[in-house]
Amino acid sequence: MRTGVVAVLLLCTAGARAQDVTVEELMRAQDDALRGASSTGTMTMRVKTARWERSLTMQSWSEGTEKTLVRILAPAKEKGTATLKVEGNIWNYLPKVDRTIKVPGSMMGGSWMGSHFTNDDLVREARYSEDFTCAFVEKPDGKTRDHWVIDCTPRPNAPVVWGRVRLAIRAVDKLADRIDYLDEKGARVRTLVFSEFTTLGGRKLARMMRMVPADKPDEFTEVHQDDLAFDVKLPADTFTLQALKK
Amino acid sequence: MGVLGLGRMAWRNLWRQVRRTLITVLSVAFGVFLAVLMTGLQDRNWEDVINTAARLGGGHVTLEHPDFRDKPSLSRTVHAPPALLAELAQQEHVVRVVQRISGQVMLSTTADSFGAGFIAYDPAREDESTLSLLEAVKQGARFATSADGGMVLGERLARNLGAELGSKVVYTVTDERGEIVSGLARVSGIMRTGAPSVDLGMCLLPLDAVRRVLGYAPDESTQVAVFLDTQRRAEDVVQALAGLAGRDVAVRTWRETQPDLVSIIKVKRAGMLFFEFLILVLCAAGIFNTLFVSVMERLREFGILTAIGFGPVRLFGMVMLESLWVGLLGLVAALGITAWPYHYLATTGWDLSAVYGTQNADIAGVGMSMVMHVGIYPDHAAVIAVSAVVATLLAGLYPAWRAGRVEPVEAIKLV
Repeated sequence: MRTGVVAVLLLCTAGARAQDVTVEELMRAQDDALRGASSTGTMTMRVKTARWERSLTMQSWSEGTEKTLVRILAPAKEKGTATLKVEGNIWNYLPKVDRTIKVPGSMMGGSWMGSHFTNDDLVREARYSEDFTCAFVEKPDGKTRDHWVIDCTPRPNAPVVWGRVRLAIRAVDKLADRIDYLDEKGARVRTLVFSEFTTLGGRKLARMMRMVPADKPDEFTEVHQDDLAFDVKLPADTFTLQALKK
Repeated sequence: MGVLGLGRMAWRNLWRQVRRTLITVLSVAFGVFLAVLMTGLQDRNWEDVINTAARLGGGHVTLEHPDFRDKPSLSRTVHAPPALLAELAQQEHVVRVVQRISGQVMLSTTADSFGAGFIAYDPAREDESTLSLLEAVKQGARFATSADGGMVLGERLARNLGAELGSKVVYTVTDERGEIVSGLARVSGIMRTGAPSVDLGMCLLPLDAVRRVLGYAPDESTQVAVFLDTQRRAEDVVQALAGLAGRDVAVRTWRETQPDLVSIIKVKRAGMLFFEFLILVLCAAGIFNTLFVSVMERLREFGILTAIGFGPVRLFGMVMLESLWVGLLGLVAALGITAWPYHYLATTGWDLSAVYGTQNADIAGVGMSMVMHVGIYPDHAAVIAVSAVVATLLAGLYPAWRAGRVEPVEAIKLV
C-alpha cells in the first residue's frame, strides 16, 4: 500500500516535469545511462530457441559505448571465448583454436554467440542520434499515461533496416522499458523489454533485458546484469587484441 | 604425259563408274557436313558462353589489382582516370570500357540477413550488351543513375530476405581499411536468370553509391572491364593495353579471369575433337574401300598400261590423283549440302527448350540461351576442309601403292 502511494507520488512529480522535456533530452538520457563511463560487471545471458536453451555467464568491461570487451566465464566448455568491440569493429577470440577472428562485413548479420542479437546490434546501437529522427507519440499526463512514447524514424539514407523504432520511456526515471522494432509496413519484428529497475553501481538502470522476435514469440534472449561497477580504473590495454586473448 | 594429263586421265577414270564415284563423293561431303555443323555449333556455343561470361564477369579483358585474382578484396583497387579510359576505348578491337566494383556483401532486412556477391556498375555506361544480368530484370527496373539508391536483387535472394520492390535493404561491406561500413538501398528491380548462383546469391548496386559507402575515389574501382568485338583477339589487346595501364595494374584475358570456363571448354573441345576424328576415320574407311575395289577391278588394265610403258610411279600418281579428285569433289558437294542447313542454323537457330523443357541452362555459373546457333571460326572450317582432303589422300595411299606394284605378266593373265 505504502509503496503504491510512493509510486503514484513519483509518477506525479515526473509527470509534472514531463511537459517541458524534449525528445533530444530524453534520447540523450538513454545514451548517457552508459556513455562516458567506464564500467565492469558480470552478466548472465539466457538464450531460448525452439530447439535448445543455454545460459552463459560473462564478464564485461566497457568504456563509453564505443569500446566493449566481453569474456565468457561459464560454462567451462566456452570459457575464455571473448568478443572485443572497438567502434564499428568486432573481433572474436576462440581459445580452443587460439584464434582471433575479425568479424567481416558479410558476417555482421550473424547471431552473436547464438543469441537473438546480431553482431550488428552490438555496433549499431550507439548511433541513434545520427541515423534517426525522433518525435513524441505520447507524453505522460500524470494520470493514466506514465510513459513517453517516442517514434524514431530512420533518416532517408541511413543504413537502417527498420521502418520505425518505438521506445517507451518511463516517466519515473526517464529509462526505456520497451523498444519495438517495426518494419516499413508497421509490423512489429522484434521487441526489447527492460525490467528489474534498480540502482546498480550507483546508477539507476534496468537489470534485465529481454529480446523477443515477433515471429517466434516462444523464443527469447535474456541478459541479466548480475553486478556492475562504474567509473572503474581500467588498464590502458583493456580494449586491445592482446587483451582479448588473455 | 605430265601431271595435267594424269589428272585428266584420273578424272575420266572416276566417271567410268558414276554411281560408285557419287557415293564416295557423297560420303566425303557428308563427313564434312557433319564436322562443319558440329564444329560450328561448338564454336558458336563457346563464343556465346565466353561472351556471356565476359558480360557477367569482367569483360574479355580485365584490368585489376595484381593480387585481386588470388585474394579478392575491396581493398585491392585500380585507379582509372577518364583520360586512361578514353585511351583504352580507342584501341583496336575494343568496343567498350567500363568500371565496376565487385565483391561480397551482407544484405539485411528486418526479416533476415544473407551474404551475396555484388556487382556495382554505372547505368549510364553499361547496358545488356556489357552486363548480361540486366537482361534478367523481370520485375521493376534497374536503377536510373549511378548515385541512385536503388538495387537489383536475385529473385530467390529477394524472397529469402522478405524483400519486394521498394523494400529497404541495408548492405554491409568491409572497406579498404578493414572497417565495416553500410549503405542503404531500395529494391528497384528483381532479376531471374534460372541460374541458382545468380538468383540466390547476386545483387547489382549503383557504382557511385557504393564508391561513397566504401570511401573510394571517383576513378577507383576493383576492375576495369574491356569488351572486344571478338574474344579471339584478347591476347593481342592485352599486349596493347599492358603498356597503357601502368605497372601496378594487371591486364588479364578472360582465360585468366575465368579459369573454370577455360577448363570446361578444354574438356569439351577435346571430346569434340575425338568425335570428329572418328567421323574422319569412318569416312576415310569408306573411301578406302571404294578406291581399293576400283583398283583391284582394274589390275588387268594397270598391267596393260605397265606393259606399254606406264611406270609404277605414274600409276601410283594416277590413283592418288583420283583420290584427290574425290576429295575436292567431296568438298564442293559438302558446300552444296551444308550451305542451307548452315544458313538456317546460323540465322534462325535450333530451339532446344522443348527438348529440355527449360528456358535456360547454367554452364559454370553462366546462364545460357536454349536456342542453338552455329558460327564456325574460318580457321576451323579451313582445318576441316584440309583434313577431309588429306584423309581422302591417305585412304588412297595403299590402293595407289598396290596399283604401282602391278606385275604386267601376272596382271594381264587376270580376266
